[in-house]
Amino acid sequence: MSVKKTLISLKNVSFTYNRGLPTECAALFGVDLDIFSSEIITLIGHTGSGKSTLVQLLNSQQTPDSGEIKWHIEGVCDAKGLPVRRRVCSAVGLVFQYPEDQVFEETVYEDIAFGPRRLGKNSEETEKAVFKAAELMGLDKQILYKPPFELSGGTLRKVAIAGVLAMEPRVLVLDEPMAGLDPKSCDGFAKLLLGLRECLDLSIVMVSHNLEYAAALSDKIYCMSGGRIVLSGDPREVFSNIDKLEEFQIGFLPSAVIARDLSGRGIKFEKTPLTAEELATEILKNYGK
Amino acid sequence: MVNDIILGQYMPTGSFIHKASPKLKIISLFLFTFSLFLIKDSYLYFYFLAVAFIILKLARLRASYLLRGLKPLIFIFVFTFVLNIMFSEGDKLLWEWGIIKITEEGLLYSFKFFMKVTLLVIYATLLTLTTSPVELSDGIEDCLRPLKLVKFPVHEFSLMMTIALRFIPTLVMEIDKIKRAQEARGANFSEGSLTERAKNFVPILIPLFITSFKRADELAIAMESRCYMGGEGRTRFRRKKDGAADYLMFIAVLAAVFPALVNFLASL
Repeated sequence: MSVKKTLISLKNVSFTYNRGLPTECAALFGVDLDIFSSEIITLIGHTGSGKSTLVQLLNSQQTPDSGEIKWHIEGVCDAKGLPVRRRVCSAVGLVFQYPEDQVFEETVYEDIAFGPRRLGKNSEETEKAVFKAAELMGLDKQILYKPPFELSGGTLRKVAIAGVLAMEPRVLVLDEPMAGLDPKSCDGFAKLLLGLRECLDLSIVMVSHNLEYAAALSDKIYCMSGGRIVLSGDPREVFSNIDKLEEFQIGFLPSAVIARDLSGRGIKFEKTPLTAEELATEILKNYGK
Repeated sequence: MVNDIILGQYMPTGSFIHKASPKLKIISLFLFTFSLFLIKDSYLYFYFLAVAFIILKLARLRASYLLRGLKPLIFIFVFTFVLNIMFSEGDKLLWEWGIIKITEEGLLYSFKFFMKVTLLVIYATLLTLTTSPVELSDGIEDCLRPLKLVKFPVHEFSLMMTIALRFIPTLVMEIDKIKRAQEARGANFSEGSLTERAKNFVPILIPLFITSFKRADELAIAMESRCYMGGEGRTRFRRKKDGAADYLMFIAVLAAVFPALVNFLASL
Protein backbone atom coordinates (compact mmCIF):
# COMPACT_ATOMS: atom_id res chain seq x y z
CA MET A 1 0.00 0.00 0.00
CA SER A 2 1.25 3.46 -0.86
CA VAL A 3 2.15 6.06 1.74
CA LYS A 4 -0.90 7.85 3.12
CA LYS A 5 -1.25 11.36 1.84
CA THR A 6 -3.58 14.01 3.17
CA LEU A 7 -6.12 14.96 0.51
CA ILE A 8 -8.40 17.33 2.39
CA SER A 9 -7.75 18.93 5.73
CA LEU A 10 -10.22 20.92 7.77
CA LYS A 11 -8.94 23.10 10.59
CA ASN A 12 -11.22 24.57 13.20
CA VAL A 13 -14.06 24.96 10.71
CA SER A 14 -17.34 26.60 11.76
CA PHE A 15 -20.43 27.18 9.70
CA THR A 16 -23.75 28.95 10.21
CA TYR A 17 -26.80 28.81 7.97
CA ASN A 18 -28.66 32.04 7.07
CA ARG A 19 -26.05 34.20 8.75
CA GLY A 20 -27.51 37.54 9.90
CA LEU A 21 -31.13 36.53 9.36
CA PRO A 22 -33.65 35.73 12.08
CA THR A 23 -33.54 32.11 10.91
CA GLU A 24 -29.80 31.92 11.62
CA CYS A 25 -28.74 28.44 12.64
CA ALA A 26 -25.27 27.32 13.63
CA ALA A 27 -24.41 23.96 12.14
CA LEU A 28 -20.72 23.33 12.79
CA PHE A 29 -18.32 24.40 15.55
CA GLY A 30 -14.55 24.07 15.28
CA VAL A 31 -14.39 20.88 13.29
CA ASP A 32 -10.97 19.31 12.63
CA LEU A 33 -10.83 16.56 10.09
CA ASP A 34 -8.22 15.05 7.80
CA ILE A 35 -9.00 12.85 4.86
CA PHE A 36 -6.19 10.62 3.68
CA SER A 37 -5.78 8.87 0.35
CA SER A 38 -7.57 5.56 -0.13
CA GLU A 39 -9.24 5.72 3.25
CA ILE A 40 -12.87 5.05 4.04
CA ILE A 41 -14.29 7.45 6.60
CA THR A 42 -17.77 7.29 8.08
CA LEU A 43 -19.56 10.13 9.80
CA ILE A 44 -22.23 9.02 12.22
CA GLY A 45 -24.55 11.02 14.40
CA HIS A 46 -28.09 12.25 14.78
CA THR A 47 -30.16 14.07 12.24
CA GLY A 48 -29.15 17.70 12.57
CA SER A 49 -25.74 16.97 14.05
CA GLY A 50 -24.05 18.66 11.10
CA LYS A 51 -23.04 15.63 9.03
CA SER A 52 -24.65 16.76 5.81
CA THR A 53 -23.31 20.29 6.26
CA LEU A 54 -19.80 18.96 6.75
CA VAL A 55 -20.14 16.84 3.64
CA GLN A 56 -21.17 19.88 1.59
CA LEU A 57 -18.19 21.86 2.85
CA LEU A 58 -15.85 19.15 1.54
CA ASN A 59 -17.24 19.77 -1.93
CA SER A 60 -17.12 23.57 -1.53
CA GLN A 61 -20.89 23.76 -1.91
CA GLN A 62 -20.74 25.92 1.18
CA THR A 63 -17.91 28.08 2.46
CA PRO A 64 -17.01 28.00 6.15
CA ASP A 65 -17.47 31.14 8.27
CA SER A 66 -14.20 30.59 10.05
CA GLY A 67 -11.38 28.08 9.98
CA GLU A 68 -9.90 26.74 6.79
CA ILE A 69 -10.30 23.88 4.39
CA LYS A 70 -7.35 22.85 2.27
CA TRP A 71 -7.50 20.58 -0.71
CA HIS A 72 -4.16 18.87 -1.35
CA ILE A 73 -5.27 17.44 -4.64
CA GLU A 74 -3.43 18.03 -7.88
CA GLY A 75 -5.05 20.50 -10.22
CA VAL A 76 -7.58 21.83 -7.73
CA CYS A 77 -5.84 25.08 -6.93
CA ASP A 78 -5.04 27.93 -9.28
CA ALA A 79 -1.62 29.56 -9.70
CA LYS A 80 -2.02 31.47 -6.44
CA GLY A 81 -2.73 28.28 -4.52
CA LEU A 82 -6.40 29.10 -4.01
CA PRO A 83 -8.97 26.37 -4.60
CA VAL A 84 -11.13 26.76 -7.70
CA ARG A 85 -14.68 25.83 -6.89
CA ARG A 86 -15.47 24.01 -10.13
CA ARG A 87 -12.31 21.97 -9.91
CA VAL A 88 -13.10 21.05 -6.32
CA CYS A 89 -16.54 19.89 -7.48
CA SER A 90 -14.99 17.42 -9.87
CA ALA A 91 -12.14 16.30 -7.62
CA VAL A 92 -14.44 15.69 -4.68
CA GLY A 93 -17.44 13.82 -6.06
CA LEU A 94 -20.45 14.50 -3.88
CA VAL A 95 -23.44 12.18 -3.97
CA PHE A 96 -26.46 13.59 -2.19
CA GLN A 97 -29.11 11.71 -0.28
CA TYR A 98 -31.48 9.96 -2.67
CA PRO A 99 -29.27 10.72 -5.67
CA GLU A 100 -31.83 9.08 -7.95
CA ASP A 101 -33.71 12.39 -7.75
CA GLN A 102 -31.04 14.13 -9.80
CA VAL A 103 -31.26 11.88 -12.86
CA PHE A 104 -32.81 13.73 -15.77
CA GLU A 105 -31.52 12.62 -19.16
CA GLU A 106 -33.32 10.41 -21.65
CA THR A 107 -30.96 7.47 -21.33
CA VAL A 108 -28.72 6.20 -18.59
CA TYR A 109 -25.70 6.78 -20.83
CA GLU A 110 -26.57 10.43 -21.36
CA ASP A 111 -27.07 10.96 -17.67
CA ILE A 112 -23.72 9.48 -16.69
CA ALA A 113 -22.11 11.51 -19.49
CA PHE A 114 -23.45 14.80 -18.12
CA GLY A 115 -20.57 15.32 -15.68
CA PRO A 116 -17.66 14.50 -18.01
CA ARG A 117 -19.17 16.67 -20.75
CA ARG A 118 -19.46 19.55 -18.34
CA LEU A 119 -15.77 19.12 -17.62
CA GLY A 120 -15.16 19.74 -21.30
CA LYS A 121 -14.17 16.22 -22.33
CA ASN A 122 -14.56 15.17 -25.95
CA SER A 123 -16.94 12.40 -26.95
CA GLU A 124 -14.27 9.70 -26.96
CA GLU A 125 -13.06 10.52 -23.46
CA THR A 126 -16.63 10.85 -22.30
CA GLU A 127 -17.53 7.42 -23.63
CA LYS A 128 -14.53 5.90 -21.92
CA ALA A 129 -15.41 7.58 -18.62
CA VAL A 130 -19.04 6.49 -18.86
CA PHE A 131 -18.22 2.85 -19.55
CA LYS A 132 -15.65 2.76 -16.80
CA ALA A 133 -18.00 4.32 -14.25
CA ALA A 134 -20.83 1.97 -15.25
CA GLU A 135 -18.56 -1.03 -14.93
CA LEU A 136 -17.32 0.09 -11.53
CA MET A 137 -20.88 0.42 -10.29
CA GLY A 138 -21.72 -3.02 -11.68
CA LEU A 139 -24.17 -1.69 -14.24
CA ASP A 140 -24.96 -3.87 -17.23
CA LYS A 141 -24.02 -2.40 -20.60
CA GLN A 142 -27.54 -3.11 -21.80
CA ILE A 143 -29.19 -0.75 -19.40
CA LEU A 144 -26.99 2.13 -20.52
CA TYR A 145 -29.36 2.82 -23.39
CA LYS A 146 -32.56 2.49 -21.41
CA PRO A 147 -34.54 5.43 -20.11
CA PRO A 148 -33.50 5.80 -16.46
CA PHE A 149 -37.05 5.94 -15.15
CA GLU A 150 -37.72 2.32 -16.02
CA LEU A 151 -35.07 1.20 -13.55
CA SER A 152 -35.57 0.13 -9.95
CA GLY A 153 -34.66 2.53 -7.14
CA GLY A 154 -31.46 0.70 -6.23
CA THR A 155 -30.21 0.57 -9.81
CA LEU A 156 -31.10 4.20 -10.36
CA ARG A 157 -29.00 5.08 -7.35
CA LYS A 158 -26.08 3.22 -8.90
CA VAL A 159 -26.62 5.21 -12.08
CA ALA A 160 -26.53 8.45 -10.12
CA ILE A 161 -23.32 7.46 -8.34
CA ALA A 162 -21.82 6.38 -11.68
CA GLY A 163 -22.66 9.89 -12.89
CA VAL A 164 -20.41 11.29 -10.19
CA LEU A 165 -17.69 8.66 -10.67
CA ALA A 166 -17.54 9.50 -14.37
CA MET A 167 -16.02 12.83 -13.37
CA GLU A 168 -13.09 10.82 -12.00
CA PRO A 169 -12.98 12.27 -8.51
CA ARG A 170 -10.15 11.57 -6.07
CA VAL A 171 -12.50 11.60 -3.11
CA LEU A 172 -16.04 10.25 -3.20
CA VAL A 173 -18.43 11.72 -0.67
CA LEU A 174 -21.70 9.89 -0.10
CA ASP A 175 -24.55 11.22 2.00
CA GLU A 176 -26.38 8.18 3.34
CA PRO A 177 -25.82 5.96 0.34
CA MET A 178 -27.84 3.12 1.81
CA ALA A 179 -30.94 5.00 2.91
CA GLY A 180 -34.08 3.18 1.83
CA LEU A 181 -32.34 0.14 0.37
CA ASP A 182 -33.14 -3.47 1.24
CA PRO A 183 -30.51 -5.53 3.14
CA LYS A 184 -29.38 -7.35 0.03
CA SER A 185 -28.78 -4.13 -1.90
CA CYS A 186 -26.99 -2.73 1.14
CA ASP A 187 -24.58 -5.66 1.12
CA GLY A 188 -24.08 -5.16 -2.57
CA PHE A 189 -23.34 -1.51 -2.00
CA ALA A 190 -20.84 -2.23 0.74
CA LYS A 191 -18.94 -4.54 -1.61
CA LEU A 192 -19.09 -1.94 -4.37
CA LEU A 193 -17.59 0.71 -2.14
CA LEU A 194 -14.71 -1.55 -1.10
CA GLY A 195 -14.21 -2.39 -4.79
CA LEU A 196 -14.07 1.29 -5.69
CA ARG A 197 -11.31 1.93 -3.22
CA GLU A 198 -9.43 -1.12 -4.47
CA CYS A 199 -9.69 -0.22 -8.17
CA LEU A 200 -9.37 3.55 -8.10
CA ASP A 201 -7.37 4.16 -4.94
CA LEU A 202 -10.31 6.38 -4.03
CA SER A 203 -10.94 7.92 -0.65
CA ILE A 204 -14.53 7.56 0.45
CA VAL A 205 -16.32 9.69 2.98
CA MET A 206 -19.81 8.58 3.84
CA VAL A 207 -22.58 9.57 6.15
CA SER A 208 -24.40 6.60 7.55
CA HIS A 209 -26.86 5.62 10.21
CA ASN A 210 -26.03 1.98 9.84
CA LEU A 211 -23.44 1.23 12.51
CA GLU A 212 -22.78 -2.33 11.32
CA TYR A 213 -21.71 -1.12 7.89
CA ALA A 214 -19.79 1.75 9.41
CA ALA A 215 -17.86 -0.75 11.53
CA ALA A 216 -17.30 -3.17 8.69
CA LEU A 217 -16.21 -0.69 6.02
CA SER A 218 -14.48 2.22 7.70
CA ASP A 219 -10.86 2.87 8.48
CA LYS A 220 -11.94 5.75 10.64
CA ILE A 221 -15.20 6.81 12.22
CA TYR A 222 -16.17 10.30 13.30
CA CYS A 223 -19.15 10.69 15.61
CA MET A 224 -20.89 14.03 15.48
CA SER A 225 -23.24 15.69 17.89
CA GLY A 226 -24.50 19.26 17.93
CA GLY A 227 -22.12 20.37 15.19
CA ARG A 228 -19.00 19.00 16.88
CA ILE A 229 -16.95 15.89 16.42
CA VAL A 230 -17.31 14.21 19.79
CA LEU A 231 -15.60 10.90 19.20
CA SER A 232 -13.28 9.61 16.53
CA GLY A 233 -10.92 6.79 15.82
CA ASP A 234 -10.86 3.39 14.15
CA PRO A 235 -14.04 1.33 14.52
CA ARG A 236 -12.78 -0.67 17.48
CA GLU A 237 -11.77 2.44 19.40
CA VAL A 238 -15.08 4.12 18.72
CA PHE A 239 -17.40 1.24 19.45
CA SER A 240 -15.55 0.18 22.58
CA ASN A 241 -16.16 3.64 24.06
CA ILE A 242 -19.68 2.75 25.06
CA ASP A 243 -19.91 5.45 27.75
CA LYS A 244 -19.34 8.19 25.22
CA LEU A 245 -21.66 6.64 22.68
CA GLU A 246 -24.28 6.54 25.39
CA GLU A 247 -23.63 10.14 26.43
CA PHE A 248 -24.32 11.41 22.93
CA GLN A 249 -26.98 8.79 22.19
CA ILE A 250 -25.32 7.71 19.01
CA GLY A 251 -26.16 4.04 19.34
CA PHE A 252 -24.15 0.88 19.99
CA LEU A 253 -22.97 -2.20 18.25
CA PRO A 254 -24.75 -5.09 20.01
CA SER A 255 -21.61 -7.24 20.01
CA ALA A 256 -19.58 -4.50 21.72
CA VAL A 257 -22.23 -4.09 24.44
CA ILE A 258 -22.42 -7.83 25.04
CA ALA A 259 -18.62 -7.92 25.26
CA ARG A 260 -18.62 -5.19 27.87
CA ASP A 261 -21.27 -6.92 29.97
CA LEU A 262 -19.52 -10.28 29.73
CA SER A 263 -16.13 -8.84 30.62
CA GLY A 264 -17.77 -7.53 33.79
CA ARG A 265 -18.46 -11.19 34.60
CA GLY A 266 -14.98 -12.45 34.11
CA ILE A 267 -14.81 -13.30 30.42
CA LYS A 268 -11.72 -11.83 28.83
CA PHE A 269 -11.71 -10.05 25.48
CA GLU A 270 -8.52 -9.33 23.55
CA LYS A 271 -10.30 -6.85 21.31
CA THR A 272 -13.73 -5.35 21.07
CA PRO A 273 -15.76 -7.56 18.77
CA LEU A 274 -17.53 -5.71 15.96
CA THR A 275 -19.53 -8.60 14.55
CA ALA A 276 -21.37 -11.61 15.88
CA GLU A 277 -18.63 -13.90 14.55
CA GLU A 278 -15.91 -11.98 16.32
CA LEU A 279 -17.92 -12.06 19.50
CA ALA A 280 -18.35 -15.82 19.27
CA THR A 281 -14.65 -16.35 18.57
CA GLU A 282 -13.63 -14.17 21.51
CA ILE A 283 -15.95 -15.99 23.89
CA LEU A 284 -14.81 -19.40 22.68
CA LYS A 285 -11.18 -18.40 23.25
CA ASN A 286 -12.00 -18.13 26.95
CA TYR A 287 -12.96 -21.79 26.92
CA GLY A 288 -9.79 -22.76 25.14
CA LYS A 289 -11.49 -23.52 21.86
CA MET B 1 -33.10 34.05 -3.48
CA VAL B 2 -35.38 31.52 -1.91
CA ASN B 3 -36.87 33.99 0.55
CA ASP B 4 -37.76 36.57 -2.11
CA ILE B 5 -39.96 34.25 -4.10
CA ILE B 6 -42.73 33.97 -1.57
CA LEU B 7 -44.57 37.21 -1.87
CA GLY B 8 -46.02 38.28 1.46
CA GLN B 9 -45.61 35.09 3.43
CA TYR B 10 -47.93 34.65 6.41
CA MET B 11 -46.60 36.47 9.49
CA PRO B 12 -48.56 35.47 12.57
CA THR B 13 -48.58 38.21 15.22
CA GLY B 14 -51.93 37.30 16.76
CA SER B 15 -53.55 40.70 16.12
CA PHE B 16 -57.32 41.00 15.74
CA ILE B 17 -56.85 41.41 12.00
CA HIS B 18 -55.17 38.02 11.90
CA LYS B 19 -58.08 36.53 13.79
CA ALA B 20 -60.77 38.16 11.68
CA SER B 21 -62.92 36.13 9.34
CA PRO B 22 -60.94 35.24 6.20
CA LYS B 23 -64.09 35.50 4.08
CA LEU B 24 -64.66 39.11 5.07
CA LYS B 25 -60.99 39.87 4.62
CA ILE B 26 -61.12 38.60 1.04
CA ILE B 27 -64.26 40.62 0.33
CA SER B 28 -62.53 43.64 1.85
CA LEU B 29 -59.61 43.14 -0.51
CA PHE B 30 -62.06 43.20 -3.41
CA LEU B 31 -63.66 46.36 -2.07
CA PHE B 32 -60.29 48.08 -1.83
CA THR B 33 -59.38 46.91 -5.34
CA PHE B 34 -62.61 48.28 -6.79
CA SER B 35 -62.14 51.57 -4.97
CA LEU B 36 -58.66 51.96 -6.41
CA PHE B 37 -60.16 51.73 -9.88
CA LEU B 38 -63.00 54.08 -9.06
CA ILE B 39 -61.08 57.07 -7.77
CA LYS B 40 -60.30 59.98 -10.05
CA ASP B 41 -58.42 62.44 -7.86
CA SER B 42 -54.79 61.70 -7.09
CA TYR B 43 -54.89 62.79 -3.46
CA LEU B 44 -57.08 59.76 -2.70
CA TYR B 45 -54.16 57.47 -3.56
CA PHE B 46 -52.35 58.94 -0.58
CA TYR B 47 -55.48 58.39 1.48
CA PHE B 48 -55.46 54.68 0.56
CA LEU B 49 -51.74 54.50 1.25
CA ALA B 50 -52.48 55.88 4.72
CA VAL B 51 -55.30 53.34 5.20
CA ALA B 52 -52.94 50.52 4.25
CA PHE B 53 -50.44 51.83 6.78
CA ILE B 54 -53.09 51.93 9.51
CA ILE B 55 -54.05 48.32 8.73
CA LEU B 56 -50.39 47.39 8.86
CA LYS B 57 -50.04 48.96 12.29
CA LEU B 58 -53.26 47.37 13.55
CA ALA B 59 -51.97 44.01 12.39
CA ARG B 60 -48.78 44.70 14.38
CA LEU B 61 -46.63 44.11 11.31
CA ARG B 62 -43.46 45.90 10.31
CA ALA B 63 -43.39 47.95 7.11
CA SER B 64 -40.28 46.04 6.05
CA TYR B 65 -42.39 42.91 5.48
CA LEU B 66 -44.45 44.83 2.96
CA LEU B 67 -41.38 46.22 1.27
CA ARG B 68 -39.86 42.78 1.00
CA GLY B 69 -42.95 41.67 -0.89
CA LEU B 70 -42.65 44.65 -3.21
CA LYS B 71 -38.95 44.29 -3.88
CA PRO B 72 -39.12 41.74 -6.72
CA LEU B 73 -41.72 43.92 -8.47
CA ILE B 74 -39.84 47.21 -8.27
CA PHE B 75 -38.24 46.73 -11.67
CA ILE B 76 -41.59 46.17 -13.41
CA PHE B 77 -43.10 49.16 -11.62
CA VAL B 78 -40.33 51.55 -12.55
CA PHE B 79 -40.20 50.21 -16.10
CA THR B 80 -43.92 50.75 -16.74
CA PHE B 81 -43.76 54.12 -15.00
CA VAL B 82 -40.98 55.36 -17.27
CA LEU B 83 -42.60 53.90 -20.37
CA ASN B 84 -45.91 55.53 -19.49
CA ILE B 85 -44.30 58.91 -18.97
CA MET B 86 -42.52 58.77 -22.30
CA PHE B 87 -45.27 57.55 -24.55
CA SER B 88 -48.58 58.88 -23.28
CA GLU B 89 -50.42 61.50 -25.27
CA GLY B 90 -51.32 64.93 -23.95
CA ASP B 91 -51.67 68.60 -24.81
CA LYS B 92 -49.34 70.36 -22.39
CA LEU B 93 -45.91 69.47 -23.70
CA LEU B 94 -43.12 69.66 -21.16
CA TRP B 95 -40.20 68.10 -23.01
CA GLU B 96 -39.69 66.51 -26.40
CA TRP B 97 -36.92 64.43 -27.96
CA GLY B 98 -37.64 62.51 -31.17
CA ILE B 99 -40.66 60.31 -30.60
CA ILE B 100 -40.38 60.74 -26.86
CA LYS B 101 -42.82 63.33 -25.54
CA ILE B 102 -43.32 64.11 -21.93
CA THR B 103 -46.61 65.81 -21.21
CA GLU B 104 -48.27 66.95 -18.04
CA GLU B 105 -51.17 64.56 -18.62
CA GLY B 106 -48.77 61.73 -19.26
CA LEU B 107 -46.93 62.47 -16.05
CA LEU B 108 -50.14 62.49 -14.05
CA TYR B 109 -51.44 59.36 -15.75
CA SER B 110 -48.20 57.49 -15.07
CA PHE B 111 -48.27 58.56 -11.47
CA LYS B 112 -51.85 57.32 -11.06
CA PHE B 113 -51.08 54.04 -12.75
CA PHE B 114 -47.98 53.53 -10.63
CA MET B 115 -49.88 54.23 -7.41
CA LYS B 116 -52.74 51.98 -8.46
CA VAL B 117 -50.52 48.96 -9.10
CA THR B 118 -48.40 49.54 -6.00
CA LEU B 119 -51.46 49.86 -3.78
CA LEU B 120 -52.99 46.74 -5.33
CA VAL B 121 -49.92 44.75 -4.43
CA ILE B 122 -49.79 46.32 -0.96
CA TYR B 123 -53.39 45.38 -0.16
CA ALA B 124 -53.00 41.88 -1.54
CA THR B 125 -49.83 41.45 0.50
CA LEU B 126 -51.65 42.67 3.60
CA LEU B 127 -54.15 39.88 3.11
CA THR B 128 -51.54 37.16 2.72
CA LEU B 129 -49.45 38.54 5.58
CA THR B 130 -52.36 38.30 7.96
CA THR B 131 -54.09 35.16 6.70
CA SER B 132 -52.59 31.69 6.76
CA PRO B 133 -52.86 29.69 3.52
CA VAL B 134 -55.36 27.31 5.07
CA GLU B 135 -57.61 30.15 6.26
CA LEU B 136 -57.24 31.78 2.89
CA SER B 137 -58.52 28.76 1.03
CA ASP B 138 -61.32 28.35 3.60
CA GLY B 139 -62.22 31.97 2.93
CA ILE B 140 -62.18 31.48 -0.82
CA GLU B 141 -64.39 28.43 -0.43
CA ASP B 142 -66.83 30.53 1.59
CA CYS B 143 -66.78 33.29 -1.00
CA LEU B 144 -67.38 30.88 -3.86
CA ARG B 145 -70.14 28.99 -2.07
CA PRO B 146 -72.94 30.72 -4.03
CA LEU B 147 -71.44 29.22 -7.21
CA LYS B 148 -72.50 25.80 -5.97
CA LEU B 149 -75.92 26.64 -7.33
CA VAL B 150 -74.49 26.46 -10.83
CA LYS B 151 -72.72 23.16 -10.05
CA PHE B 152 -69.27 24.69 -9.67
CA PRO B 153 -67.02 22.26 -7.69
CA VAL B 154 -66.27 24.77 -4.94
CA HIS B 155 -64.74 22.35 -2.46
CA GLU B 156 -62.47 20.67 -5.01
CA PHE B 157 -61.37 24.05 -6.26
CA SER B 158 -60.40 25.26 -2.82
CA LEU B 159 -58.66 21.97 -2.05
CA MET B 160 -56.59 22.41 -5.18
CA MET B 161 -55.67 25.88 -4.03
CA THR B 162 -54.72 24.68 -0.57
CA ILE B 163 -52.51 21.96 -1.95
CA ALA B 164 -50.87 24.32 -4.43
CA LEU B 165 -50.11 26.84 -1.68
CA ARG B 166 -48.94 24.15 0.68
CA PHE B 167 -46.37 22.81 -1.77
CA ILE B 168 -44.73 26.09 -2.77
CA PRO B 169 -42.16 25.95 0.07
CA THR B 170 -41.62 22.24 -0.54
CA LEU B 171 -40.89 22.89 -4.20
CA VAL B 172 -38.54 25.73 -3.35
CA MET B 173 -36.58 23.40 -1.08
CA GLU B 174 -36.63 20.71 -3.73
CA ILE B 175 -35.23 23.11 -6.35
CA ASP B 176 -32.45 24.05 -3.97
CA LYS B 177 -31.58 20.42 -3.38
CA ILE B 178 -31.57 19.42 -7.04
CA LYS B 179 -29.57 22.51 -7.93
CA ARG B 180 -26.87 21.53 -5.48
CA ALA B 181 -26.82 17.97 -6.72
CA GLN B 182 -26.39 19.09 -10.33
CA GLU B 183 -23.74 21.60 -9.35
CA ALA B 184 -21.85 18.75 -7.73
CA ARG B 185 -21.93 17.11 -11.17
CA GLY B 186 -20.42 20.15 -12.81
CA ALA B 187 -23.54 22.07 -13.83
CA ASN B 188 -23.15 25.83 -13.80
CA PHE B 189 -26.15 28.08 -13.35
CA SER B 190 -24.54 31.47 -13.17
CA GLU B 191 -22.45 31.67 -16.33
CA GLY B 192 -23.01 31.64 -20.06
CA SER B 193 -25.33 33.38 -22.48
CA LEU B 194 -29.05 33.71 -21.86
CA THR B 195 -29.98 30.71 -24.02
CA GLU B 196 -27.26 28.64 -22.40
CA ARG B 197 -28.51 29.56 -18.97
CA ALA B 198 -32.06 28.68 -19.95
CA LYS B 199 -30.82 25.32 -21.18
CA ASN B 200 -28.98 24.80 -17.92
CA PHE B 201 -32.29 24.68 -16.13
CA VAL B 202 -33.31 21.45 -17.83
CA PRO B 203 -31.34 19.37 -15.30
CA ILE B 204 -33.35 21.07 -12.56
CA LEU B 205 -36.77 21.09 -14.15
CA ILE B 206 -36.99 17.47 -15.20
CA PRO B 207 -36.13 15.98 -11.80
CA LEU B 208 -38.43 18.56 -10.24
CA PHE B 209 -41.35 17.46 -12.41
CA ILE B 210 -40.68 13.81 -11.74
CA THR B 211 -40.53 14.20 -7.97
CA SER B 212 -43.62 16.44 -8.08
CA PHE B 213 -45.62 13.83 -9.96
CA LYS B 214 -44.42 11.16 -7.56
CA ARG B 215 -45.40 13.32 -4.62
CA ALA B 216 -48.81 14.06 -6.09
CA ASP B 217 -49.37 10.35 -6.56
CA GLU B 218 -48.38 9.59 -2.99
CA LEU B 219 -50.56 12.40 -1.69
CA ALA B 220 -53.55 11.06 -3.59
CA ILE B 221 -53.03 7.57 -2.19
CA ALA B 222 -52.56 8.94 1.33
CA MET B 223 -55.79 10.93 1.03
CA GLU B 224 -57.77 8.01 -0.34
CA SER B 225 -56.46 5.68 2.34
CA ARG B 226 -57.86 8.14 4.85
CA CYS B 227 -61.22 7.89 3.13
CA TYR B 228 -61.23 11.22 1.33
CA MET B 229 -64.26 11.15 -0.95
CA GLY B 230 -64.43 14.70 -2.24
CA GLY B 231 -66.58 17.52 -0.99
CA GLU B 232 -69.91 15.70 -0.73
CA GLY B 233 -71.12 15.78 2.87
CA ARG B 234 -67.73 16.78 4.18
CA THR B 235 -67.67 18.81 7.39
CA ARG B 236 -64.99 21.18 8.54
CA PHE B 237 -62.50 20.81 11.33
CA ARG B 238 -62.15 24.54 11.86
CA ARG B 239 -65.59 26.02 12.22
CA LYS B 240 -65.62 29.73 12.54
CA LYS B 241 -68.75 31.80 12.60
CA ASP B 242 -68.42 35.49 11.88
CA GLY B 243 -68.94 37.39 15.13
CA ALA B 244 -69.63 40.99 16.07
CA ALA B 245 -65.93 41.85 15.82
CA ASP B 246 -65.81 40.60 12.24
CA TYR B 247 -68.83 42.67 11.25
CA LEU B 248 -67.39 45.72 12.96
CA MET B 249 -64.17 45.31 11.01
CA PHE B 250 -66.15 44.98 7.81
CA ILE B 251 -68.15 48.12 8.57
CA ALA B 252 -64.86 49.94 9.17
CA VAL B 253 -63.67 48.76 5.75
CA LEU B 254 -66.91 49.99 4.15
CA ALA B 255 -66.38 53.34 5.82
CA ALA B 256 -62.77 53.43 4.60
CA VAL B 257 -63.70 52.87 0.95
CA PHE B 258 -66.62 55.31 1.12
CA PRO B 259 -64.54 58.35 0.01
CA ALA B 260 -63.66 56.48 -3.20
CA LEU B 261 -67.34 55.99 -4.00
CA VAL B 262 -68.10 59.65 -3.28
CA ASN B 263 -65.22 60.72 -5.49
CA PHE B 264 -66.43 58.46 -8.30
CA LEU B 265 -70.04 59.68 -8.10
CA ALA B 266 -68.92 63.31 -7.96
CA SER B 267 -66.87 62.91 -11.12
CA LEU B 268 -69.78 61.49 -13.14
